[in-house]
Amino acid sequence: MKNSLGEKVWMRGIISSHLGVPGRKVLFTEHHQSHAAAAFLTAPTCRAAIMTADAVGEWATLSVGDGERLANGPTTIRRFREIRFPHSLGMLYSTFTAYLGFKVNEDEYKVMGLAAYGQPTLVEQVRKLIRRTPDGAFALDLNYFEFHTTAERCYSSRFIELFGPSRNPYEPIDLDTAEGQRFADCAASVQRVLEDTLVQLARALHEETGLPDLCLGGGVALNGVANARILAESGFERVFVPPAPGDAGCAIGAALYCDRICFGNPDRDLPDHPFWGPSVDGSELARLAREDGHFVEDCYDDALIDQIADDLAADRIVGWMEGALEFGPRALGHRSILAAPHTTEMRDRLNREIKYREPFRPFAPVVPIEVAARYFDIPPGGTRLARFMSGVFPVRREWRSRLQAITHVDGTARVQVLEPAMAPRLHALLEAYGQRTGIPVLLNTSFNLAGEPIVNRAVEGYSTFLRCRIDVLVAGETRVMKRTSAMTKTPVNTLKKEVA
Amino acid sequence: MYSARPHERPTAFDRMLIPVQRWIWSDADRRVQKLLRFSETETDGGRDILRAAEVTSDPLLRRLYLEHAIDEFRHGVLFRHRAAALLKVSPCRSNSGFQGDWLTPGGHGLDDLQVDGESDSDMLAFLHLSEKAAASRFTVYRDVMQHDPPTRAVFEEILHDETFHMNYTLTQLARVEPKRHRRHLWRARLSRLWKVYLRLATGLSGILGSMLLTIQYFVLLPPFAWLAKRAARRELSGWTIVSPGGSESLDRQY
Amino acid sequence: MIKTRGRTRRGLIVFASTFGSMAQLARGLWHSDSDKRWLTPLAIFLCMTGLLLIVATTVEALAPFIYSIW
Repeated sequence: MKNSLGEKVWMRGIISSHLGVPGRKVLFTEHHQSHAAAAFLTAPTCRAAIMTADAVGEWATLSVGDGERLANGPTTIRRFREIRFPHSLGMLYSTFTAYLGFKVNEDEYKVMGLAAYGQPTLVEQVRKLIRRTPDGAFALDLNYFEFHTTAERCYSSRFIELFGPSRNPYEPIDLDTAEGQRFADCAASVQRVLEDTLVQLARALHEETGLPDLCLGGGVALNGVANARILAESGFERVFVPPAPGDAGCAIGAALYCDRICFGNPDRDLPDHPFWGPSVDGSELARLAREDGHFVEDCYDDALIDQIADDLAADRIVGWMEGALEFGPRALGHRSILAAPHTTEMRDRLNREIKYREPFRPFAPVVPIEVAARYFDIPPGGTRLARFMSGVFPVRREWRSRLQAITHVDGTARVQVLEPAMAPRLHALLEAYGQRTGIPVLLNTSFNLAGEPIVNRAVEGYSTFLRCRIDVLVAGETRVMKRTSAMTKTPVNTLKKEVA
Repeated sequence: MYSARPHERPTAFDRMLIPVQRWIWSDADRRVQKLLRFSETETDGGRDILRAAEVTSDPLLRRLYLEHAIDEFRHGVLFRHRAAALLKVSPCRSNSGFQGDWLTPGGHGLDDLQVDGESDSDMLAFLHLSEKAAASRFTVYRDVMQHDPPTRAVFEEILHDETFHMNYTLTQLARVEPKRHRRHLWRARLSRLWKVYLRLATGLSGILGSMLLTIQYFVLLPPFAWLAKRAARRELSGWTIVSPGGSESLDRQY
Repeated sequence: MIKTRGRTRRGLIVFASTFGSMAQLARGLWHSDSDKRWLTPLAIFLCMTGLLLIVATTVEALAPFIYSIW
């Protein structure tokens, strides 16, 4: 309320006061219009169907349409129709997120991770919450929800009657107990219903437009399992999801919409990568680490790549910072924690000593595009979805025992398939690692600790490195290793004793 | 009663509040809520200090801030685990009524701090006073917690760290600003006084706000609630066609 | 190059824009859907309350009293 009345209503004046432009020059695009533009205008396709889905934006919760752009010519984006609040797939999923003791609008990916541990035994119950309407859309049974009437709770007491007591957020999920399994089954069931609904909507859109390409936008497009099913079952040959399909991506969508459609500028291709942020400065890291007495090495490309490949092969965990920061929630090779993907011990070590997160959450792999099909069962069109880690695909059975750290309990992985042009140094590192171990696959997780944003500058990577058990930190051409004796240079612990 | 080191002796104001604190902490639900809130406060404070470590150009301060931030994160975990243990024993009721939150500075996370714009000396003065206040308050909490030894042990452990934080911030302030460190402390005290006003004003205005909202709720909203219900009944579910020209005008926000 | 402005000046610019924004909101609601016309007085009332929030962010001493409404 405070946010809506104190800021959102006066957005024109606020933007005008900060940027120093007259209020009449501030333009507004609709929320789903921005999602649609972000999905379509960043994708390398000239004509595509567009589907956007999230919790809610203005009144819309899901919209379908199409887009067309001609090289150096005009662009059009049409939205045919939309489903309106409170009937929302995003809110349905978020309601289960809250019920399972996770944070709404933040932890939905945990529900997806947990789903793999359960069986969709409660699908019939979930279907009571969401019914299909005769025109092919869907509607929620609002008797089971409270998100539309109060900010306190998403679900009603009828929901509790149907699914049982909600999870205490402060209790870990123990999947060996009946209660833990019930929560996993709930997650699996809502995941299944979400996937089924999206597949049906996408299939109908494919039949209606007859186009081979689909652009997906909105927070729901972060659900990699659903995206993979849409690709496999809807009839579309290619599915495009931008690196930031959520609300952050609306900024790019709004800018592109105004440029191409409102101002009528001719279409130009956009760089097909997510690296839009500030660049990292290796010399800043070198300075900081030298001041603290850590082991610092400045070496050039091949030597550095060889050294890091040796580190990874020796089971060292590497904090990897290179070039410009990724835009979006995924670590796609410029701010990543990299590790050997072969054993469950490595997964547990990362969970326990670095990421401090729930053991049921999987880690993602990165693999060069040339050999991706050898290790992962990626369908036609799947490499595009895997470019920005937007799809979940099976790990080939014969490799699962050697890729334990990145193989989820259901045998899948949210793989990133890397083209050399997108991140050349990471690609070279994968090849160098492959030469040493025979498997050019690395575990790639975002460079942050639990509850913290992904690091941006070298100093942020450095402070994260010092607070957890990452063994090696790389920024640009600089490689840093912790030296235990480094702390003796100005011994904090001795100082602590003296001062106290 | 105040068995610990002399710097852990609560201030006169905190001693005055001991009966209130004893009453607040006697209830298990309130205890859980307060511990959870402390957990958030300590974690938020940890993030602020971590940021301070990232922006300072003084290598020693960077190491000390980092150590401090790690302590704060650990405190957050200690509080959360203790609250979870209490919740396990007796699940919390939905609303535990008065908790006296506005009385409680707790840590520095409650105060709005713009770390990026602060000088080292202002930051150290602010941290010193915050830690001192927290140490005083936590001493009271520890002492009124005779009936709950595990929670008391948590406060005891945290108090030990707070003492270090309180002392290093003062010694470092004297190092960074040998001549003007007292001035910085006084400025920080004035700023804390201002925040005390804001805290009291928040408490008082909370009462006024509740009254105003209640009046609005009964007088203004009923006709609109009736209209909203009527409109909701008429709303159709399913697809809504987006009119082709509907979103053409980008100069309108609404 | 974006010119940085002080808080008070920014607050004044926002304040000056509010009346236009309110008129636009009212017009938008009135012309949109006949189903939503009844929302217009409520929206205006809420906007007036929102104005108080702008005052609160500009005059810090009043902030607790004004924020407490929510």
